[in-house]
Amino acid sequence: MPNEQSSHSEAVACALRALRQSAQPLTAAKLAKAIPKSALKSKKDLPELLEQMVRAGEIRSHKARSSVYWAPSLEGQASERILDALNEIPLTQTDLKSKLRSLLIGWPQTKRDEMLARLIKEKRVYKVPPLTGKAALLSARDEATPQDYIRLALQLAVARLKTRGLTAEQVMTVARDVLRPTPASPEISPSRHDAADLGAADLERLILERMLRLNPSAANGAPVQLSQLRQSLRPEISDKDVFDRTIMRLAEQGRVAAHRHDYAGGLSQEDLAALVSDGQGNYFIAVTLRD
Amino acid sequence: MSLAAISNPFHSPVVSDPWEGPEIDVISVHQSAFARCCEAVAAVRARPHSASVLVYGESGSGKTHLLARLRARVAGEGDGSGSFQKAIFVSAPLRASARMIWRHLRDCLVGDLLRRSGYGGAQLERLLLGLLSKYGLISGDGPLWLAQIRQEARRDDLPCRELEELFDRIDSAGRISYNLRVALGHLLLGRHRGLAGAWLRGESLPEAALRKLEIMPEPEGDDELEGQAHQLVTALSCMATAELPIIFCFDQIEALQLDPQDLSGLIAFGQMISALYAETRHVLLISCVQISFLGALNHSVRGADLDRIREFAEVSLNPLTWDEAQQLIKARMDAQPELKRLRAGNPDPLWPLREAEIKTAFTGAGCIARRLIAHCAALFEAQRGGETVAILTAPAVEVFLKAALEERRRKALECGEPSQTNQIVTHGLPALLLLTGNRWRQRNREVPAGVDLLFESAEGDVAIGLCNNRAGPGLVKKLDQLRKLTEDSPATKLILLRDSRLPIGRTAAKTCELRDRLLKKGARWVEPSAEALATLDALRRLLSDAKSGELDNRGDAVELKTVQDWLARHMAVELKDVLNQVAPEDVMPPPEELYEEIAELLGRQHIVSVADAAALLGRKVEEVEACAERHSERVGALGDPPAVLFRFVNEL
Repeated sequence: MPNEQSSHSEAVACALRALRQSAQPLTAAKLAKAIPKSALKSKKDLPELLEQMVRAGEIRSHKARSSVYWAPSLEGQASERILDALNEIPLTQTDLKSKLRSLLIGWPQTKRDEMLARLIKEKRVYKVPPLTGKAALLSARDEATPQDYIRLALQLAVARLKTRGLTAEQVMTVARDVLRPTPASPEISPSRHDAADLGAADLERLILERMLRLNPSAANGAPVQLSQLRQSLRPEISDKDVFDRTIMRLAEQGRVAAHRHDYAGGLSQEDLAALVSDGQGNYFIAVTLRD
Repeated sequence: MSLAAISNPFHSPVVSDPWEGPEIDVISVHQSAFARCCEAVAAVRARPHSASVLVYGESGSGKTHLLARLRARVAGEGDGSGSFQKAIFVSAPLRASARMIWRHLRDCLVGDLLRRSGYGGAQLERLLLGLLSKYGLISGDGPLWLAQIRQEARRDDLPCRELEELFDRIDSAGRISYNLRVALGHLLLGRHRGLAGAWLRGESLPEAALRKLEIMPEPEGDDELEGQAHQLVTALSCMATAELPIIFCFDQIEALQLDPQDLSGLIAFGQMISALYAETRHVLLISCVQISFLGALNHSVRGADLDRIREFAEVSLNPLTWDEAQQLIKARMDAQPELKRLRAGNPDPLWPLREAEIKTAFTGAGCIARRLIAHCAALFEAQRGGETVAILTAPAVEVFLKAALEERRRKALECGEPSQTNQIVTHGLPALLLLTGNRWRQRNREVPAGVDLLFESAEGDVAIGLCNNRAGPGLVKKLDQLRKLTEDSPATKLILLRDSRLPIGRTAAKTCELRDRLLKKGARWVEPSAEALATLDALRRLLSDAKSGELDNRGDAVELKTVQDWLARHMAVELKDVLNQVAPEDVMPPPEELYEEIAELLGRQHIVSVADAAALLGRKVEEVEACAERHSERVGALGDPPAVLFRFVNEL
């Protein structure tokens, strides 16, 4: 009898370990492989063992597909995946369900639907107005951002133009061309100028404009990370010193506030290179527009 | 009166708590950031939603000062009579572990609700009186009504009918539990204030105390306690109204991170803000972070949560311009009447300071407030001593850190309560282990029931169960969960930790039996002393202050790495004892070779001069002195610099 009990415990432990280590629900057949023969008298005992574990709350299954099991903690991870997908871009319910088929492999469809319904009920997923059509979009935010709608519009353009033989990359290239200002525009055309061609005033204007483009809230005092700003302007201002000098000039003029990194001494050379240096031992991590 | 007789107007440069000061406030400094915060307060008053603001700034830029200004503003607005404040203010410095973040917020919220401010009553009274008045359940002078009803309550020991009626009206969603209603009733009527306040904070109370309060016992598992804290914070926050919103100010967010790889604290913070934002109305959530932390925040917090954290506004506290600096300097000096009189006769508006000398603190980007004030303090001090400017340097960092740790340890010893032990250990122990060489890595996912801290080590998992509940069903359940763990994962090393101030009585038979069974299975029982816990509390506070840039050594923020290195070199004996009990062979660094040699020498010659020791061991005198200082709990040193070493002998 004690041997039987210890075999039973070993089988439970093996099943639990397999489920905790798995990124997706497992079938009874797969679980059978994870349990050594010594721990299970007969394969026929496995369904009863798993049923007991379900009743004890150690593992879960769903009546829609009762031969599939998972650890309770896996539901949290699945919910996070749903939120991550919606965090990237809002989706219609149909599109999301289609995406979840590949994101949440092995889950019963009804269970996937229930998890989504629960996230909506808990107000972790929201219904937001669509860009086109009538079907509401699901989003991880209570309001879709302008960026969300622009991405959706681009997705729509990619889908429509695919029938005319254009690849996604080609559509994006066209979009960039369309958005690029005409030569008559007062904005500086990035691809046609290099730092060497630009005067100090042009460089300053370029930086101030790019700050607002990277973070529209910068107009109200939100900071812009200098590494991000430098990266974004690399095609136009490839010289680090030119970029750094322009930032410091803007700070001295009181047009931006440059924020010093508090612990630059502890950073690697690579990290330091991404910051702006004033040449006197101070390194700056972010800028904000001054009033 | 001469300058020498006037106290330095630039001392005490840091507002370290929003509930303090600000004594001198130049409203034009950080005006736009403050205006955005005020707009956010107006927004939560105007609409039935919550709002959130994210404030960035360099360390010492004045984030806490800004919060203090906001607190003073909402306390001072009033209704014309000047007697009522217009918002409830809650300060929550986030010195907490991810797994206890809601419990920490509960403690901060209740602590500040029970804090007296404004007209003399606690903020909680103001909140409840405001609601009673809004719903027409009382009329006229609220405080007067409260004084009368308290007198009646003392006489008749009856519940407050108006309060019960209020809860029925405002709580259609059933958020305000029976226990919370009872506790709030006691606090409003001034009955069992200490016990009711302790329950509201989340302290584990004995059954007799719960009976006295007529409060039902609740489950005490880790998940349940965190869930209860979440519910209670939400329930209390839902009492915010358009007339009296609640402002939560989250500071020291950086302290949630054990090291740059540890994302759990920031993720938990993002989720907490999202939950508060979604579940409440008329609540303003202000989060303050160092600008150096901008990248970590963007990378670690989930996009949707980050959007919530900065939903209403993102603002920065910019370095001071020269104009702002002058205003601040003048305001500080003119706040002292004697100095103001002396200055009135001088044509230089900055006298007795000089513009050129002040400007040496400026870079091309400006100067942050803390550095400017510390610089001016040194300049003023030099001027008082004579006309020659000799700027006083900050104390050596070792001296500063020793004093800073001791100050925090003293406060922890004075105010420490066993109810804080779980917070101290869950937040402080991982930081302490990290200082010893980081051979253990904390795991925050899939932590088994009953376990409060889980570490992965080369020898397998190490689980720590904090057993600081009062002896009773909660502790029994916890020990039983840990028993199950020893059966499910026999390879996991189990450590049971209980505050030494909480003895388990003989009557707790079931608890003792379960504990003994666990000990027989190889679990270790660790009982840290009150002194060890106070030192651990001091250590985590020092590290938190360093992480958030608030460790100010005369205008210079001391870097985290400096603090960590110093703490590792000067580990207190009581913490070494705790480490030896928790992880005897795994995390303690190997004994230092030189120390071993000195100890061996002192075993043979009980007293020896440093010079002789250095010669005998073939080392430099400075090396021997430094080693003796590092091991001052084992090696005695006499003289300054130590000239003689001797062996400590334990008293028998």
